[in-house]
Amino acid sequence: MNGAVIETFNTHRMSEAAIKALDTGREAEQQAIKAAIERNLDRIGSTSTPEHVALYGPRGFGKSFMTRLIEIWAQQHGTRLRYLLLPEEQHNLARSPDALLRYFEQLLLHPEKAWEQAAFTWPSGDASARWSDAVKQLDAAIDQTFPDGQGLVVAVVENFDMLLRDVFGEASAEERLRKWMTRKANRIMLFVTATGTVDIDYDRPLFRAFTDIRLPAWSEAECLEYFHARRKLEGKPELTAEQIGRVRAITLFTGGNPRMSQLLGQVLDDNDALRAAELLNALADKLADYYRRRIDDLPQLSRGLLDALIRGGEPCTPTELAKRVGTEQSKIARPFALLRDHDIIVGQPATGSSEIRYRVADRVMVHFYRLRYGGVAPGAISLAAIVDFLQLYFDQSELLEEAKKFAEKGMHLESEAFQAAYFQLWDTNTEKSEKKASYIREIHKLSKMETEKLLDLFKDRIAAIESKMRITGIFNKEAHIIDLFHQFAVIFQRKRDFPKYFAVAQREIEFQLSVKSFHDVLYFFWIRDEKISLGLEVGWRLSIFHSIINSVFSKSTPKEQIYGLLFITVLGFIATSNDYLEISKAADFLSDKEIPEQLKNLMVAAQAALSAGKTSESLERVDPDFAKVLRLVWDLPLSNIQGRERSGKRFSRR
Amino acid sequence: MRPPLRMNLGNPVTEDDRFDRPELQRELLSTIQHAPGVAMFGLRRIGKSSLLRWVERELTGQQHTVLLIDAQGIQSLDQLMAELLDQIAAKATGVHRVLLETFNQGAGLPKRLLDAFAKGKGVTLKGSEGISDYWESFAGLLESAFDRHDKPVVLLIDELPFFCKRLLDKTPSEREAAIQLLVTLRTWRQKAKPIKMILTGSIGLRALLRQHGIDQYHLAGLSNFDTPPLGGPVAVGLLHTEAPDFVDALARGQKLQGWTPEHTTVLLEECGVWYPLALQHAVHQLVLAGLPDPHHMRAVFSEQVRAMLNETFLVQFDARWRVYKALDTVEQTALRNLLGATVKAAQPISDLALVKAIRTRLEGPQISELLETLREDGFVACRLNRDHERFWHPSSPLVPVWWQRSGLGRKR
Repeated sequence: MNGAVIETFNTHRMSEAAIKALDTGREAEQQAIKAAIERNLDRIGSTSTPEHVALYGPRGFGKSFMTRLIEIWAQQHGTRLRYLLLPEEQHNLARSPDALLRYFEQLLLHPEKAWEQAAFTWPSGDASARWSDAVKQLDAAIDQTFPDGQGLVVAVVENFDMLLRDVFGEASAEERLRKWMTRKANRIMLFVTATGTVDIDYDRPLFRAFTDIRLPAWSEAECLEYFHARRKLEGKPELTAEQIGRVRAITLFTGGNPRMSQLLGQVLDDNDALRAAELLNALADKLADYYRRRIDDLPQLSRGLLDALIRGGEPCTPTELAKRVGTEQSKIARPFALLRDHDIIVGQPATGSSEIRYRVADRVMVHFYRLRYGGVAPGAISLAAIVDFLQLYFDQSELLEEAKKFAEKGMHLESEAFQAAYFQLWDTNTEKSEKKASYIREIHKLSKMETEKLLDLFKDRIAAIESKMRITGIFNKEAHIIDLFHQFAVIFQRKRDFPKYFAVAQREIEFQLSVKSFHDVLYFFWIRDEKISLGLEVGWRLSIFHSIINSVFSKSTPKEQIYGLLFITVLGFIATSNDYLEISKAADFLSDKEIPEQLKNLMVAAQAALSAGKTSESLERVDPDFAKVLRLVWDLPLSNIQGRERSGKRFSRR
Repeated sequence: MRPPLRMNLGNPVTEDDRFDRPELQRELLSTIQHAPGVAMFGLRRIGKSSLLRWVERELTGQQHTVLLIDAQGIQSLDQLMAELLDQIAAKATGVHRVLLETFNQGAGLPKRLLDAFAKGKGVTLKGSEGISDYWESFAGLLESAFDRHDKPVVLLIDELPFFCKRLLDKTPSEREAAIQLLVTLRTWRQKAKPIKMILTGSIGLRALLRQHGIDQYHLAGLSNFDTPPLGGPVAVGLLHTEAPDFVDALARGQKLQGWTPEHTTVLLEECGVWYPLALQHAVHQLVLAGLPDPHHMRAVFSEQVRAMLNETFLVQFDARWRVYKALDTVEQTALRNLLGATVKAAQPISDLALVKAIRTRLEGPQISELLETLREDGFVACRLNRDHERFWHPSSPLVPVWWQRSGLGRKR
């Protein structure tokens, strides 16, 4: 697939038919360029100075394509207009400003020999005199081209900002250029393209010397129009509804960058996310030069801000970014504005605020940046780095399905990437107040899966949750994960599937104890429980404490596990945090008791019944043995606790 | 109704691209008729060169010999004079003939220079020895030839301050050449029958000379002339309909379908500063945006136009103010207070009122010179009342904006 990915988007070699067929959007910009040329044609024969046009746009935004479109249009003017399209770079002009004019002269008079004639020659002699000579010779060539004096030359110079920097770097050279451009009755119009600035620097002679036209990014509709046109040109069937949906993803992911959209367009025919990820990695790799140049085009401080934006997390307001880089917003205003001017970043209003939050428009660029500058660990799978793309390419439910699909295949890292994408998307799409409820609902959806697979996925989810919490910061880490475990536990409780219930609880406690001591965990719940309604949380406490005790005794004898069950069952009836603590102290004491295996099962049933809200009285009517056990459960720990001296002060009450 | 106006961003304009400003043009002609020299300095891209081209055409039509030198790209006094000689050869054959005759008689110049000149149009003097080495003789010959010419000669030099700056920043001999030029130009202005001239540039000469410790006397005989934004309902002293007429003519010139007077009104409200470049840029951006209706035009301004205005004009004030930091503290303080008082005044403020407002130990002539410095650098403009009393005001609505943004008003 990679081989097909990186086809060069060389508009200078594209056929006229292909250029016309793929002409997409930018009508206003096209019209503005054509109008400037038309006005210059009107000026021929007068003393007026022709307008010069600078077409701005990031690399890959279609500037070269536009020069070809205008070239095709210009042909209709016949002999009145000569359109000189120079190659994209001009290494032959090194340190010789006058060589540019001589190049024009060659293209006018001897286009067939221009390749040889315009070769680099060593710059020597007085630059001013050479320039003057070149001006005269070019004027003579124009006279020869238009003997009646009624013609206009449109000279197209791409990457003009680079040319200015490299060839017209000296102020005197740029001044001569400006003077030449603005002289009366000039018959050459410059139509230049640039990614960086050409004429906005006040200190430079060319300050505001051009009619500026900026190529905007493609809209979703334009992106769609392009793909329709392209498929028609390639004889492919029309886009399906699903593919149209993916066009949207491509537009958003590339920030409407035409070149990137064109390259990423290959995933339209491919449903496999992993191959899409491969493509993305290949693009980031193969287009490294392209992205490096885009970054190099930026002034240094703008590059620094871009780095801070990507590393620190997007989207971000200018105020946040200024704080992040340790300065005031006013100081970053100019380099930040340049990021916007270069179409590197785009802004969207923040929810519930007048502030604008900015992110990098082209997500492939972010992917490149992470890959290249250490944002992705060596050996990490490709999907982990393209969570952004997954979010756009799949909708929320599809992400979840993909996560399950990979979990079922045992591809946990891939599953994790989809989960991360899912959670980020969920986080973006969900109001803060609704997040917890929404989250829990989603967890319930997972209950349809087989237990073991579920648990596998669940394990992966912990990483996803941690990732998500790093992003949102809205949940306390441990509490959130406990909630998650609890939701699983409740599901199995309700199904009376206690083996699974215990398995989940076991995972929970493993996690809890991996981050905290048993008593700290208990203390954590004590603090928490004093702040919530006990009546609503009975089931919650049951499962949690069940899990805690179960885990505590998991490496001991079965009997100790049963004590654990007994313990938490009792907890279900106790209303104060103080009692929880006291009961916890009794754990060791209870471990001495012998409880038969049969009782263990009954205890489980009792716990389940209690957590389902059934009273011991109602249970007694249904199952006397069960009730008997229940009473035993009720009586035993209390009596033991009561019989034990309360001098143990392992926990401070406050 | 004004004739349709053709868009032309970025160039000095002539003919159909030019918007006639009769009142301003009359004033400029009057100034050059009554003064030996005019200094037309100010911000970049506000229309000075276009006005200069109009003057060239107008005075040529009035039987003057107008020699226009664009000093952009010119690196030495020799090159400047070569350019002047080219102009003479092209436009003043009488002067050229006189010069040739004089040169043929020797004229105190080395043969190499005479031979170079004799080649006529396009002569470029090369080598270490040039006209500047024989400047006095050469300038004297030129002066004499101009005097004997059958038409009055008017010299127009565009971007003179940049040219001087280049020389002043180079070697001591180049610095000396710059001073020689300024002295010669002053001498020509101060003759009983002056050689008239209009000097234009994007930076002020006064601040430049002060920065380099050169006597301001070299600017004697120059009357400052402002290039204000197009007049409108709030502009000072100019035709009230100039800006709306400009926008209307531009809209018709571009054949903008659906353009209404309401569009013009909103554009002028949103643009804030009515230099031709700003208004053209605004129209250009509106066209690129698909010519939204007046209610939706404001977004284009906030996203596309204001940033350009800031980058074009406000940065120039920043750059110029930085130059003042090389001046002594008393002058810096006086400049700040003068500009502050002008900005804060509800109406144009007289010299006398300014002196009272700023409380400085500087003398009246010094204050006047500082005001002219601010004027040349585009911060303030000046109108004369019928008693020839000067009244100062910010040169455009951008100046108070810049003043506020710069924080200068808060300094103690």
